[in-house]
Amino acid sequence: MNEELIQSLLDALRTVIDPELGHNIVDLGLVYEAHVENGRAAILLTTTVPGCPATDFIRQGVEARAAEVPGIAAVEVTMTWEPPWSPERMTDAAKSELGVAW
Amino acid sequence: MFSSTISRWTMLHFAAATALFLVAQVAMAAGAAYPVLPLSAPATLAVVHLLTVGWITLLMLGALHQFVPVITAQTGVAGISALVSLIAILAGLAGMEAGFLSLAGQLPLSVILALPLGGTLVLAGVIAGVIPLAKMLWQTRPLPFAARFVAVGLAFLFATIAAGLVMGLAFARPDWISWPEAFSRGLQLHLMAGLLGWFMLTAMGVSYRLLTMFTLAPEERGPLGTAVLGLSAGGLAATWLLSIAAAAGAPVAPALIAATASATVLGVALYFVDMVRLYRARRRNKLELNTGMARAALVAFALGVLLAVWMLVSGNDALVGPLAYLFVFGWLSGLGLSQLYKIVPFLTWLERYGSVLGKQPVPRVQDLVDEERDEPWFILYFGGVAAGTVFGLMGWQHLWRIAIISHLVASLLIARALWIARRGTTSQARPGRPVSGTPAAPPSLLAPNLVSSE
Ligand code: HEM
Repeated sequence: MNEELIQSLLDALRTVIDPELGHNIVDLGLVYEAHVENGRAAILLTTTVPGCPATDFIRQGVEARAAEVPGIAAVEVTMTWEPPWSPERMTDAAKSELGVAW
Repeated sequence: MFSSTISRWTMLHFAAATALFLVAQVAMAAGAAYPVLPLSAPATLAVVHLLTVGWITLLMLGALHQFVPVITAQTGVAGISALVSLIAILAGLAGMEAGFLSLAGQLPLSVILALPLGGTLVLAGVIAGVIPLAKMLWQTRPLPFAARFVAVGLAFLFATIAAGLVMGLAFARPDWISWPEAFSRGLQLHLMAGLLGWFMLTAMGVSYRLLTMFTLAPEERGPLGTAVLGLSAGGLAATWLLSIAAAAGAPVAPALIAATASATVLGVALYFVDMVRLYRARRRNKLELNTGMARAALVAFALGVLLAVWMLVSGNDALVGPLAYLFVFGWLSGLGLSQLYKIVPFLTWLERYGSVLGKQPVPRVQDLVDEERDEPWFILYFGGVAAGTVFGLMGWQHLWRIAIISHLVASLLIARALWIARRGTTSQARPGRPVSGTPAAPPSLLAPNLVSSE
């Protein structure tokens, strides 16, 4: 049940893109953690570089999108840059779409 | 709420800088300055400062207002002081231009006072702009790698203006500052601080940050990066300080200056090695137009360094004009135009789509430009500069002017592409992912128009 909710949360977050790379934040590996407990979602999020000018917008986009998921009543997004993001975190599909060498 | 991470006045810096870049190229193409007139002609000085103060300094300050927060990973960007800075620098530049034109005999000689006055205003503007940047850098000690280049570069900016002001005063008030002295010593210090200290070091730092970010290359540059920084920035600072000491009459062994200058050259040579390493280690296989074209700027820089070393060794001063041309148009302006091609759409995207991200489908940053349409203009630009350099070295002045016209046209077309990106008339929807809903209002071209978000 909870697994399903987390899955639909992640699916919803796939509509949020990193504008520079032009790919969704889930498959880029920018969502470090996502938990749901009693309708409260806790999301640990990073950006490709610290101080990225899009940080506020990505965070707000995640908040807005997550709040729309049926079964989620409250959303808490925490930003972190520890550990720093690296391209290894991308899914294989994202890597091949972006032409990221491995 | 304004996003705390978007620099509100950066785009206005870019617009003013680009306009002055075009004006300067028109003046050169029209034969109103170098290469038709001599390098030291007052009209050439007027055009040189349109390029150095108007184009490259404003471009760099505008970019730093946006990217020092990124480089230092600090939130919060310069507010109104960035606008005050821009206005003061533009007003000061206008004064300097009037002063140079009076030297050229195109304005009454009494207007010459506008040269040091304008220079003072430029200084005030630079101080207003640099204070917030310096604060951010200060709070981030120990500074990240790329920011160290920028910090040294900013220090050299003040050194440049100080030397310029002394010379400007000597022009306007020869009774205050004795004339031949101020020039023979001042010009060398002014050029070294401006072209190498401020422009070259800052461009090196910014290129490290932007190119690792846009190509997904490792940001950590290791011992090689440390050597580049220490030798180039340390060597240049030492060379500059020793040159001042020598000018002031201190007994400085010429061999010592030769050693620190050689260290600087070695540092820059290692920078090229590191840039090749950076591009090789990138994770993004397919380069975008901005990172692809940055390679042409790097090649221009490398050729410029070779030419400079050859000139120093052979003592052939006649090369200085074509060399400065290659350095300013190939390296600095080439890097600037190619990175504007990424930064302008990026900032436009943030203003226009940032607040609807997650609420409606949005285009990617790349969708705001058309790389296929614009690639030929970049090729024309760099091709024009390459041809211009060759013609300049051969002394073929008329062909050189034709080459200048070709990169003027290319710059105009690139500026047009940036304008289109800004106005959003290019295809905005990603194939297979149309933008639905009411499109957000296009941002005004120049003024900040940051969408509010509750
Ligand atoms: C970023 C800032 C600046 C840069 C990169 C810069 C660069 C240059 C360059 C390349 C030249 C040599 C031009 C030639 O010989 O054709 C020059 C000359 C000169 N600059 Fe600047 N400049 C800057 C700011 C200033 C300022 C603020 C002043 C103040 C008035 C100034 C005053 C002068 C003067 C008087 C000369 C002529 C010296 C002579 O011919 O003996 N410059 N500058």
